[in-house]
Amino acid sequence: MKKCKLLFIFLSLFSIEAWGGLLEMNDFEREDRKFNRILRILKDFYSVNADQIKILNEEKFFHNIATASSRAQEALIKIRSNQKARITENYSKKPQKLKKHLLKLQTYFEAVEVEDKPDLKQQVTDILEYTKALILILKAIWR
Amino acid sequence: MQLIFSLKKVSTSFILVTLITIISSSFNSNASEEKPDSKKRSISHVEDVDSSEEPKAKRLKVDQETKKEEGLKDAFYIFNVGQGNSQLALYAEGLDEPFGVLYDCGTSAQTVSDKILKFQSANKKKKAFLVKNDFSRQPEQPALPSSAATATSETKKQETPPIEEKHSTHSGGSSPSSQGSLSNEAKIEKRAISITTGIRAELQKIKNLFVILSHPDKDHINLLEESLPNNLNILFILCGNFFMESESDDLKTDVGNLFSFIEKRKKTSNKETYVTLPYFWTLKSINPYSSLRYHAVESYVSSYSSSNSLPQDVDRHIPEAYQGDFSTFLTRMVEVKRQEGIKDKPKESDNPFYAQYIEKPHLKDIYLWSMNHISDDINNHSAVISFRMPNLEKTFICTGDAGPEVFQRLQKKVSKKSSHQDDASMDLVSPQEAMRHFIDTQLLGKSDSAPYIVLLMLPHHGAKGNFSLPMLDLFMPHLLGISAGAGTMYNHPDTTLIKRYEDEYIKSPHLSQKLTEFWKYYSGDLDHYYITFKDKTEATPLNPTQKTSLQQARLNLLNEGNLPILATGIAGTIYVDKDSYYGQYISYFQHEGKSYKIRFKKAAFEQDRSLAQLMEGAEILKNTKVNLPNNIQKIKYKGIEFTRKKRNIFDINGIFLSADDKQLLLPLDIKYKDEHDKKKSKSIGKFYMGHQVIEEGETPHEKM
Repeated sequence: MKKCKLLFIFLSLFSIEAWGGLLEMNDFEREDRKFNRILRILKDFYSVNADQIKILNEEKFFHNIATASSRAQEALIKIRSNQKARITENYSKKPQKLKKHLLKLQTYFEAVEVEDKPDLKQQVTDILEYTKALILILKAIWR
Repeated sequence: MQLIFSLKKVSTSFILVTLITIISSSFNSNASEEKPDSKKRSISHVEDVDSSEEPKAKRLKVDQETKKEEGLKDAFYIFNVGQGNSQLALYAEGLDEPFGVLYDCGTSAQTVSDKILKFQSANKKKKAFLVKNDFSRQPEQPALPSSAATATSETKKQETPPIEEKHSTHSGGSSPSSQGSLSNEAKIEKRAISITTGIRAELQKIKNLFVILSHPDKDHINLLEESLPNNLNILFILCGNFFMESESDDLKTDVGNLFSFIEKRKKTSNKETYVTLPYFWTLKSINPYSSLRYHAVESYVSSYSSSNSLPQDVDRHIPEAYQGDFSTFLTRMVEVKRQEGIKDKPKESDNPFYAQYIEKPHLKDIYLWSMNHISDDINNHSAVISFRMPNLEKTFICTGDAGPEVFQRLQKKVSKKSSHQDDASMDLVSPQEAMRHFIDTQLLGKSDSAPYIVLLMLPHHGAKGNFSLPMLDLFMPHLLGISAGAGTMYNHPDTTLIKRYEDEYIKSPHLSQKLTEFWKYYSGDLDHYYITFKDKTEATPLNPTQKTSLQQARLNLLNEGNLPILATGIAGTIYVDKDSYYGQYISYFQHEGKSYKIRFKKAAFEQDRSLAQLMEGAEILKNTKVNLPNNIQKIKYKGIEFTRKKRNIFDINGIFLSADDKQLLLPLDIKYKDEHDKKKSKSIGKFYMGHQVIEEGETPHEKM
């Protein structure tokens, strides 16, 4: 029995290690400045939860997350339970890990120099906006 | 009043009974999904009961078996068999009885490390690395206030310290010694049984199977006995000359074992077993020079004994090349049997299981492009077969070990065949267009949502010297697949071969269009890495006149816009359904019998020869660039001392190991675009950190 338990813990640990990190950038993305994947995964979250994000916008949730209206709270609960987005599917049981990866993304994209590349500039702006908003959503959901 | 009360009582009881039934049936169905073994036991228990006298038991058996097949969908698998080959096309939708076609099942690595395979087979969840795009939804932009940046900075300050990734450690295993390799190693007597766990699990889902062995080579045939569950009706189709003289004793043993297994199965299994060797089929219209009777070949296999002499005239036999769909193939097989007077043995059914499929469209979706190719090189006997899977909107082409000459000859043959098409609409088109039409008719189908995606398995595990332009021109695949569970045995796939294919997809408009088409409909989600190998020779450090043979390992990533290559080396078994391509993703490096999990996402540090050279024992900081000269033996990283080992393995840099063997630093090249000239690519050396993984059933706690 003890063996079974230990094995279970061990396997779980590996599952997390092997599959976590959907929002982690890899060496190739950094070297080649390829941000499409990260942007698409973030966009997927805002597409799957489009109706709820619309409500959050209407309720001015992003202006003050501490005093979210009941309508905004309802939208947040729906976001939390909707497992269709790749981010929610990947990180649903690992909010701390998601937070860590989002903060890393924010740090990287705030520092990355793309002034000379207009196409990348727009991507970086979008990624930052999506990342910051998601950090706020995460903070409100797992407060 | 009393009546109402009784009615209420009855209805309550009814509801209760119904609820119990629903709950118990859902429990059974869940249990059956999760524990196929336990269900198998219950089925075999029922099988023990005399079915003629126990209609109830028979019903139960049928019910359970029907449930087993419920919800079974078409799928394609590229199994991780280490250095070997095995694919499965599963046809289930629209059929009363699903069936599978297993193309090859073998490995040259005698073991892919028991523990690694156990980890992989335990990892039943699959994660999609390529996903079909959903164009129906648009993202809603969050309306952030201008002060959002400040707010998030505050969040950052309040953030709890990052969770350190835990790495289980273990002070050493009792596994046999091995050299460094990614997930694979040979030279071990006992084969790891668990290599076939995944294959068996998938085959348990069906009752009828066609096994096509591309050619007689050990890494394509020697895992069959372990992989095939007993509950299957099987037709074995052995392509190529299985009686060809071979210098390899291993191969002779494997072919002998295969024949013995088929013979044993025919005698002992209560399921149907058939075998055919199309290379030796004789029809009255062909081969007037041979007096070979096919029934001699079949009876030789069916009563195999190593002391038996080969059927007469087997050496002089000249087979007829075959090309056509699988349905026609089976019809022909029946005709050969009839002509040769081969009668079904008592255990074989008068109505063999495969007969029910001959007229089904599914068999017409399977096309045999090259079969019975005559060559001195046994690899070129490989059957080239495409599996069109309309429910997946995809086609898969399996090539075995077929060399470039097979595709050259195939190109000529297809060109000739397409020019003789009876289609009146073809009269006005060029020979090239007619050929394209002919090929596309076999490969592609009608799809409303997206074009058919063609995946071609690269022949011979992506080995050097197997580049074939005719192969690309014929099939124009969107993706390339590689069955090579990595390892140092043969260093497959080859870096230069992959580069040639990548270059071809950039310069040829018809191929580059395929990439555009693919990336329009699919996106990469998770990182799909694969390792390629390049041989090079360098002067030995102590004796510059002597040359040492080295391997340069390159880490590659499936990158959007580029040629998608799906390899089993790091992904493990690859599974394909309608919307996605999935992998298992447990990436280990094996060194001296110990397994290390490598973090490919981010390198520990980078090699930069333009910097000042490091001194012996120098401390290297995380994420830095350093110039690590080849003569340095010791370095420090994250406060731990590492010593250089095995200089000739994995590049001149060798591997750096910590004193307790718990951590290693693995050198890999990565290729990236030159920032100044996007058409050029640069190669940089990086060191990746690996942590030793714990062994199953043994932990530091237990050791204490």
